[in-house]
Amino acid sequence: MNDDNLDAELRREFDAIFVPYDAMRAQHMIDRATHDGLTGSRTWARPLAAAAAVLVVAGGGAALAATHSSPHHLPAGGPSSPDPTYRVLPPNTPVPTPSCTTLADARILCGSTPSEAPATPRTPRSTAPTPTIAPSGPVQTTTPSGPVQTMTPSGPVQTTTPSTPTGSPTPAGPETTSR
Amino acid sequence: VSDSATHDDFAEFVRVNWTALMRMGIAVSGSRTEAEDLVQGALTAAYPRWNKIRPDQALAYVRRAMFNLNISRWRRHRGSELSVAEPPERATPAGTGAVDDRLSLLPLVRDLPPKQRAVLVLRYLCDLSDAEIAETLGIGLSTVRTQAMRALAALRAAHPDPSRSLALTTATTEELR
Repeated sequence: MNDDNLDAELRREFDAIFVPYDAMRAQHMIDRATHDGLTGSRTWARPLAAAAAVLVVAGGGAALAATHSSPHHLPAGGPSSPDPTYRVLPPNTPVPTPSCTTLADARILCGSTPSEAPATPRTPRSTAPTPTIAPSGPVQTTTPSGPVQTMTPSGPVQTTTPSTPTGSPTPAGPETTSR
Repeated sequence: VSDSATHDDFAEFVRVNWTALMRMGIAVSGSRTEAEDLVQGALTAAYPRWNKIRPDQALAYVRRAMFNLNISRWRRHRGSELSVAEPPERATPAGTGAVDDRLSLLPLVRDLPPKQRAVLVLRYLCDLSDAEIAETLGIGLSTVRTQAMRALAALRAAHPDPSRSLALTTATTEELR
């Protein structure tokens, strides 16, 4: 078959397709197209919306879990974890810990300012030891003639005045001992 | 443009072009039922954008939507059985071979891949040039020519020479007289 014959045959067969005009069918198509076009009832819209909702919920849950997880817990993977929030120390490295051995150190660490109160006059019988601060808890030192000083490493220095012995030259006001 | 004017314009377009669109749908899909589905889907897709479609491009837009829908349907149902309203035409070998061979060209067209089918329909039913076909289908000019060449080659291989068929038909008719 040559091209001219085939072309003519195709034209003839396509022209033989006869479709009479159907006004009712055309109007039905118009109504349906306008209705579906306005309401947007497409077959792909609902599955797409459902997939988007699942992604949003899953992403929110993952973000919530990441927010509540403690950054100080090493992951199960150990030092090979690529998470930059975990600082992995080499073995046998001394871990620096805050230590308060002196009152000045405690004040520096705790942010308290030196007291402006005058120094406590010491009596000849005074055997009050030097207040010390233990990192693990408050230490209460009582002197027979002076105030009780309670110092904690995490708070300001508190001074309370106990009942003083009779005849003691200790002032009535609160005092702190500065070194 | 108000919604009412848009609706009236759209309805007028459908009434004027309904027969042509249905003929094209039947030529492409092979059945009236599928043709109605194609036309309906294309019109539904076109209506929300009707304000943005230029009037001289509306028919090309709807045609393109129809062919894209047909390609999508073909991909979706490829390899599966399609239900049609009426069985496809098949040639019967009983004594009228020449006439039946001539009638069997449309089923051969429907067996072609959808893009080749679309090119043939636009060229021989809608009388579009290759450039217009390329613009309608959104493909290149060389692609149009390649698809048309492959489609014609497939038809030529599957269909006997219609001139020989016509000669045989004439001879048979004269013998009967």
